Amino acid sequence: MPSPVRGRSAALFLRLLAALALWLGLADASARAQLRIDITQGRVDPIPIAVRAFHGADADGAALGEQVATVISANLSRSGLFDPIDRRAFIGPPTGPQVRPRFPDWAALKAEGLVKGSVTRVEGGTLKFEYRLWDVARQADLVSSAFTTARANWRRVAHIISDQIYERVTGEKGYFDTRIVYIAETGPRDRRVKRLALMDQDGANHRYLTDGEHLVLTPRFSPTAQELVYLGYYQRNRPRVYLFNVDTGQQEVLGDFPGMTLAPRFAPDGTRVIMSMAKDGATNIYTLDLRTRIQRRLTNSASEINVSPTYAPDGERVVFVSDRTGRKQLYVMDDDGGNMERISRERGQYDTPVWSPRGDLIAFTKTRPPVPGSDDRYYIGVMRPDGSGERLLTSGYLVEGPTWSPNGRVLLYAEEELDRATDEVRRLLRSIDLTGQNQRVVPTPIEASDPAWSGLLH
Amino acid sequence: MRGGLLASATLHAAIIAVAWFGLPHLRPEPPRLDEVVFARLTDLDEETNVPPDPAPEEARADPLPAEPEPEPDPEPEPEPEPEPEPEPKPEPDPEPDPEPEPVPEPEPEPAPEPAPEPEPAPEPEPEPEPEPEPEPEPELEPEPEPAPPVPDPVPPEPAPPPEAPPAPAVKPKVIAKAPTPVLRPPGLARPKPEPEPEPEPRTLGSVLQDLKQNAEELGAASDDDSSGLQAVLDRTLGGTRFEEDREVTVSEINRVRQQISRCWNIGVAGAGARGAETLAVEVEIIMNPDRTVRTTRVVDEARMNRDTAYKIAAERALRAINHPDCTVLDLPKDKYSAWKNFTFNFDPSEMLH
Repeated sequence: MPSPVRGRSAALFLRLLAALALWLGLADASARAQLRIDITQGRVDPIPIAVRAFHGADADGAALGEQVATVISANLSRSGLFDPIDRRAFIGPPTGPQVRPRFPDWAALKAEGLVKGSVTRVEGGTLKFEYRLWDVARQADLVSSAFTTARANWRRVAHIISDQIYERVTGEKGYFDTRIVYIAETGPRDRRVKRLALMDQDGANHRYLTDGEHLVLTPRFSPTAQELVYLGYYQRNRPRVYLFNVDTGQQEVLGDFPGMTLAPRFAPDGTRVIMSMAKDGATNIYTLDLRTRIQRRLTNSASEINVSPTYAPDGERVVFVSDRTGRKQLYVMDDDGGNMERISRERGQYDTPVWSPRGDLIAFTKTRPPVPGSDDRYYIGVMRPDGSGERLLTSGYLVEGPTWSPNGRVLLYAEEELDRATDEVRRLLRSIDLTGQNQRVVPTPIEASDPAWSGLLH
Repeated sequence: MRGGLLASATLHAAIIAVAWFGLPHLRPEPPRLDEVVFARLTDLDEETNVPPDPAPEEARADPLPAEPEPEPDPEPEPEPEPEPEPEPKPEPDPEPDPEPEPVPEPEPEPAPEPAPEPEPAPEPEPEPEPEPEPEPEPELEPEPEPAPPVPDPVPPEPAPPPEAPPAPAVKPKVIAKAPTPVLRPPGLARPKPEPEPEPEPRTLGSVLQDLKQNAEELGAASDDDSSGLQAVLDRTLGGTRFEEDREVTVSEINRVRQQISRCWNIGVAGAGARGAETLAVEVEIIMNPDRTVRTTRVVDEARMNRDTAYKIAAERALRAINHPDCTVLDLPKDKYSAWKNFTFNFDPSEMLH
C-alpha cells in the first residue's frame, strides 16, 4: 500500500503532466493566426465630390467664387474620374476654407471629397484665392493652397486648383492648366480656309493666331508649351517651319526643309527636332540640332517611306511609321537609328504614332476594312512600346491624329463626321480617355482638325 | 518528499525535452464545421503577441461613449503613446459622445470567458457569453464532448483536444475579476488604441516557474480536491489566453467582404493606375464588440511617405473602412474574439482593365 505522501506526489505529478500537456495544446491553439480578409473587388466609380462656391466677402467676390467653383466642377466632371454633386443640394451658404465642414451633412450627400474656398480682395487690386480639399469619410483635409493674382487670371487659378485636386485624389498629375492648338477650318472643300487657333483645354480664351490667308498645317507644341511650331505656306509650294511664341505673338522661321510634309517634333529636352523629309524618291527621318544646325539621318531607305517620328519621353527612343513591308506599320528605334524593330502586329495599317508622356503607351491611328454593318474604317488605339496590349479605344468614319494630355490619360483627336442625310462631312475635335468610356466633343467655334495638346503651363 | 523531488525532476526533464525537441503536436487539427477555412494564416508571433499598435493611422471616433474596458490586469505590455493623434489638424469638434452613460451593451469583452458560475459545469456549451443579446450560438463548439478533464486525477492520457471546451471548466477564478468594466470618463471617450487586453504570452520559463510554485502550494491540497488542479491550471495559463476561439466561417467572411467591396471605390483612375498590381494595401483593424471599427492602421505606413501611388491607394482603403455604409461591419456578433483584430488586404490587382 502506498504511503499517503507517495500517493499525493504521484497525483501531483500526473496533474502537472496534464497541465503541461494542456498548456502545450493551448500553445498550439494560439498559433492559429489572425483573421485576414482579402478584398479584391471594389467599385470603379467616379469619385463623388462637392465643390462649394468660393466664399466672397462682397457681391463681386461671391459671383467670382461661384464661377471659380463652376470651372473646377466642369474640369473634374470632364475628366470622367469625378462626379461633382449638384450644388443645389448643398446646405447653407458657402463658408471659407478655414471653417471646418459639418461632415455628416456631406456624408449624407454621399460626397467623398469636399472643396471649399474663398475669394478675398487684397491691396493693390489683386485677389487672393484660397481653397481646401477635405476627405469627408476620414474627416481629414487633403490639400490646401492660396494664390494671389490679378482678377483676370481667375480661370487659370481655377484650373490650377483643379489640377491639385485631381493629383491629390488620383495620384496622377492633372491636365487642366493646359492649352490646345488646332487648325480651324471654314469654307467649301475645294477652297478651305485654315487658321491656326489656340484655346484653353476647356475651350475658353479662344483666339486665332493666323488670318487664314495662307495655308497652315500640323501645329505642335514645344516642350516649354509657350512656343509652337507649324508648317506654313507663306510662299506658294514652299512650306517652311515656323516657330510661334504664344505669349509674345512673335514668330520666326525655323528652317527651310524642302520635301517636308509635316511639322517637326521636338525632342523632350528641346535641343533638337525630328522630322521626315522626301529626297530622291525616298522619305527618311532626320534630326536637326537646333544650335549647331547639323542634320542627321536616322533611317536609310532607298525607296520606302519613313514618316511621323516622335520621341519617347526619355528622348532615347523614337517611334515612326514605315511601309517597308508594303503596308504602313509602326517601328521603334534608338535615337541614333539603331535597334530598329517593328512593333505593330495586328491586321491593318498604322499611322501617326505618339508616345505617351508617361512613356507606357503609344497611341496611333489605324485603318482596316470595315466590319459588316459599319462604315468605320478608322480607329484610335494604344499599344505598349513593345507592341503588346493593343487596344482600340474608338472608331469612326474618319478619326485620326491623336495627341496626349500631359498626364498620359486622355487623347484628343480629329474626327470627320458623315451626315448621311446631306452626305456632308463635318470636322470636329473629340477627346477620349484610356478607359475608352469617357468620350467627349471638344467645343470649337468652327470646324476643327489637327489638334495638339500642350504640357502643363504651371 | 522523495516523491516531490521525483516529480520535480521528471517535470524538469520533460520541460528540457520540450525545449530541446520542440513542441510535440499533441492534437490533431480540430474538426471544423466548414471545411474550407479562410484564406491565410499568419505566424504564431502575430497571434500571441499583438503589437502595441504604435501609431494607428486613424483612431476612429468611437461611437461607443464609454467602453467598458475589462483590462483584467495592469497590462504588462508597454504602451507607447497614450493617444496618437493621427490628424494634427485643429479639430474643433470634440468627440461626439458626451453622455457618460455606460454603453448600450455592457459586454465586458467576452474574451476572458466569464463563466459566472464557478462550478465546473460539464455542459457542452462552454461559454456563457454575458452579452445582452443571447446569441443562440448557431454553431456549437466543434467538439462539445471532451468532458472537462478536471474532476478526477487525470491519467496521463494526452490532454483532450483542448480546443476550447476545457476552458470554462477550468477558469472560474479568473472570471471573478475579469468583468470589472472600467468606465472611461467621458472626456477621453476615445478609446486608446487598445493593445489587446490579453497579457503577454507566457514564456516557457515563467510557466515553469509558476508550475513549480503552484506545485508547492498544492502540496497541501488533498487528493480529491479537484479545484486544486483548476487553480493550478488557472494561474499557470494566465486565464485570458484560454478564450473560446471559434472560427469565422467562409460565408461570414464573404458577407463582410461584399460589404467592404461596396464601400471601396477604387475610382476610375485607380482601376487604370500603372502598377496597380503592386498597390495592395494591408490595414490592421481593431474592432469594438459592437462591430464598429475602433482603430485602423496601414501596415506599411512607411511606404505611404515615399510612394504617392501607395499613399493614394491606402487612403482609398481607409475611406472604404470609414464609409458610412461600412460603419458597422457585417461580422458574426457572437464571435468577437475571432475578429476583434484582423487584417483587411485591399488588392486592386484583379480589377485592372
